[in-house]
Amino acid sequence: MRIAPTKLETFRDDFSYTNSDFAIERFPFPFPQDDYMYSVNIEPHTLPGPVDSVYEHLIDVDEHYLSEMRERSLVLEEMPKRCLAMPHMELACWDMIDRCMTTMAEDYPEWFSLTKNGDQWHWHNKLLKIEDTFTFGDSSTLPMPPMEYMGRQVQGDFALLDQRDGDLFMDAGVVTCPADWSIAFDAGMGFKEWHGPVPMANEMGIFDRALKYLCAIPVNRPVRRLNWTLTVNARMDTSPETYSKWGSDRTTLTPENIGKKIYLRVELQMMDRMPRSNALMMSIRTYLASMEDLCSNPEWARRLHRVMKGLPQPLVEYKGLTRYHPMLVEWLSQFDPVN
Amino acid sequence: MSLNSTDNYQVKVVAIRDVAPTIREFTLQGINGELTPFSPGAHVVVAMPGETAEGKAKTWKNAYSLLSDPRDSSTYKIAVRLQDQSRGGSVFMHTRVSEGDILEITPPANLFAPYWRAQKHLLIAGGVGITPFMSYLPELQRAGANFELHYSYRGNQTGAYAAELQQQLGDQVRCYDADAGERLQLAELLKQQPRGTHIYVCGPELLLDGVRQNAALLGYPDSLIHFEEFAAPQPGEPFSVTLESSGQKVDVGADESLLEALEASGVKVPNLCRGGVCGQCVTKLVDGEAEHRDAFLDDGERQSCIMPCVSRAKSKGLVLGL
Amino acid sequence: MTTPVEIDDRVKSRPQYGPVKLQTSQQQQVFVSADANSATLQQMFDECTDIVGPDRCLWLTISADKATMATELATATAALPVATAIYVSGDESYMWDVRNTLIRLGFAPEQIQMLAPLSTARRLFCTHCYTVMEGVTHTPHKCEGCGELLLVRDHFSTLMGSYVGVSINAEDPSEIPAPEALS
Repeated sequence: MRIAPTKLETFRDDFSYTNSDFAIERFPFPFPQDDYMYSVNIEPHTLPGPVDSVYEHLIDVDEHYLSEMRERSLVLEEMPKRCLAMPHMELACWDMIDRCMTTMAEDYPEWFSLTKNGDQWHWHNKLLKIEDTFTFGDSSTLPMPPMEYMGRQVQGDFALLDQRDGDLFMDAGVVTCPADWSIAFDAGMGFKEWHGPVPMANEMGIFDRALKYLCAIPVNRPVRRLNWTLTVNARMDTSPETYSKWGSDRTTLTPENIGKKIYLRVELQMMDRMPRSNALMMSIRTYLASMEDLCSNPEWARRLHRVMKGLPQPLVEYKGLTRYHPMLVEWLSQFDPVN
Repeated sequence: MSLNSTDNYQVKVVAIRDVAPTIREFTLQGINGELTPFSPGAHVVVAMPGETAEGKAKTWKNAYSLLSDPRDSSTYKIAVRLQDQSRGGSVFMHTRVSEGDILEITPPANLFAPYWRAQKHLLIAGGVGITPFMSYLPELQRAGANFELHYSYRGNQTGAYAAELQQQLGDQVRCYDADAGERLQLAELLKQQPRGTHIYVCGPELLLDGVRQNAALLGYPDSLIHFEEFAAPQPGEPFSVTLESSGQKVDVGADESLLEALEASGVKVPNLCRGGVCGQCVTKLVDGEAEHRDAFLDDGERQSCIMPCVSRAKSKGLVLGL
Repeated sequence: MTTPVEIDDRVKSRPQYGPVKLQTSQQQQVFVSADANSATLQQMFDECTDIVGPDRCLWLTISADKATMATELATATAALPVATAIYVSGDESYMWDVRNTLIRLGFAPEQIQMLAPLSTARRLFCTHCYTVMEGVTHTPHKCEGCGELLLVRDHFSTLMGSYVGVSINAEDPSEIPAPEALS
């Protein structure tokens, strides 16, 4: 059974965030084998997915909903420019509103309801106590711009990619829990540009293939992939904007606290074609779990040790793990004595 | 309720009407859920289960532009021109489909979307090539965009929607009936365009070539011109292919495409346009000489790849990396 | 265990500037710079004049100030034909500003060619406070907005004509690396 989001925990200061046993059990563990290499690993996001899994619905609403939505409003209060939409993305933003509201109301009728009467829509978000009537497509009937309005009610970062000339442009988005990228800087970039800093095994041409695949996604055929990194403390906002606030977290690690303080940060990235605008919606949903919690599963513990030990040096650096990588491998080795 | 994420749509044909001497319009309604809105220029692939002249069961799959208002998800409309050299698809739609029939279509995909940042949109349609623009027009009007439609056709065969378009759009549409001696002067038209005008073209090869040549003469930038050029596969000589991994042999008849033959043998190949433009079905060519008919691969890629949706064999047999 | 893989860790968003070729088949040839400093552009202009004649070659001196640039370019290009080829020389950020302005005026990207930048100076966007700085030649660079010591990265935004800077010593503020010249 899905757990109703009632708790209000923090992703900053005292870091009161915790995972229930249920959340650990359904955690999207990203390592299918003992070694890790960057790959595109895109697969169809077939809906509905397995019951109670993070893949069950298009938008996964879990026990952290209220906490993540409060975290988002804290970030936007400090830096409003972390939510943006270029003027030609207006229709795409409304597509996103339709897609999110429609599926959320269908998938979680006890928490959300949507009534459509032609273009007059009534939306009730019972969890956040938001209730509005508006005219679909008319941004002046919303209390704030459409991207921000929806973005404040869905977990995870969202970007809307405009498709033109066989490329996908980062022309709108709300990004408050990124793994070290900034939409303020990446705005307007094409697919290869915003991936510019990703180190890549050079023989693969995987970006060309991935881009071609993404450009061809039809309506109603969403796809997904997992990506991962590590974060010190349960900090959602590991953005470049706030790096000076969290960079020093990396120096606080000791062999005694590393299992509690290092979180595996998994991104469930989902790409979905927007019907009216032909934009591609990319949602990047972040799941955090501490090494200690993950290692309660012996199989995951063993696998984590092998993957971390074999990680190529450029990836260690790119993911920002240099300072504590050996300490972590040493800590994980207790679960994998033969290696 | 809405459709599951990987479903094709089952649709019922709720109306059929002739919109030109050789063009028939079909109105489709979802039966297992509401249809989705779509974007201007989107198409669906329609599956048509029928049989060949020899009485063999066969499913044709053709891509057709959606031509209704993109915001209206109650029904979709497509229009099919009866082709002289049809391999069956258009004949099937014209002779075998009646009101009340159920068809299967893919969800909409778009290979010909408008450039929303364009300062002006110039639409050039020829014959049944009017279809993708039918879904552009309501959206361009809603957006208050600067646009013009130039529509040439042969009134004895095509010319669908010409009268209603003129009535609705007034000065923004110009029609040219070649059978009445009217001619679209491409050189003049292109020359008049303000800087930054995006040009969209859909129609017969002759029209596409005309725009290409005039644009080249004028020095019009390539990236501002967009062609809808997918075309149904054309027949050819029969040939056979061998699949590298299994050694399986697949025969391709004169009037079926390589992609269709592969599908009939249970070989799944990803595809979207079935007309040589999207690049989804690109397959490794291990041996043999191909007759390339696509608009996607460059000369280098053609040495080692083939697009089975439209291309065929020049040599008697091909070996594919499948 | 894992096999070693060769990994390309260059930043792929950094623009590459190849050799620029005259497109003499285009009716109008336009050469844009902020001043007369570009010997290469001048040389191309002379060569082009020899080939197509002086009537079809236009030299434009355009301000580096963005607002002035927009007005000057709009006026100077208003009457140009569709078949126009444009060559731009200057600092990197200047060339991208010219290019973006021209695209807004309706020119297509393939009509605009940029020469190799005249200097290694970069425009820098501070990722912490969003301040934009001009003429940055060394890394790290102290942000003029928030005072962070910024590592100047190769990640580049064509829209802003700018590289991104991110705190170099957030993990340990006592580390103050010596400045290195940018390439």
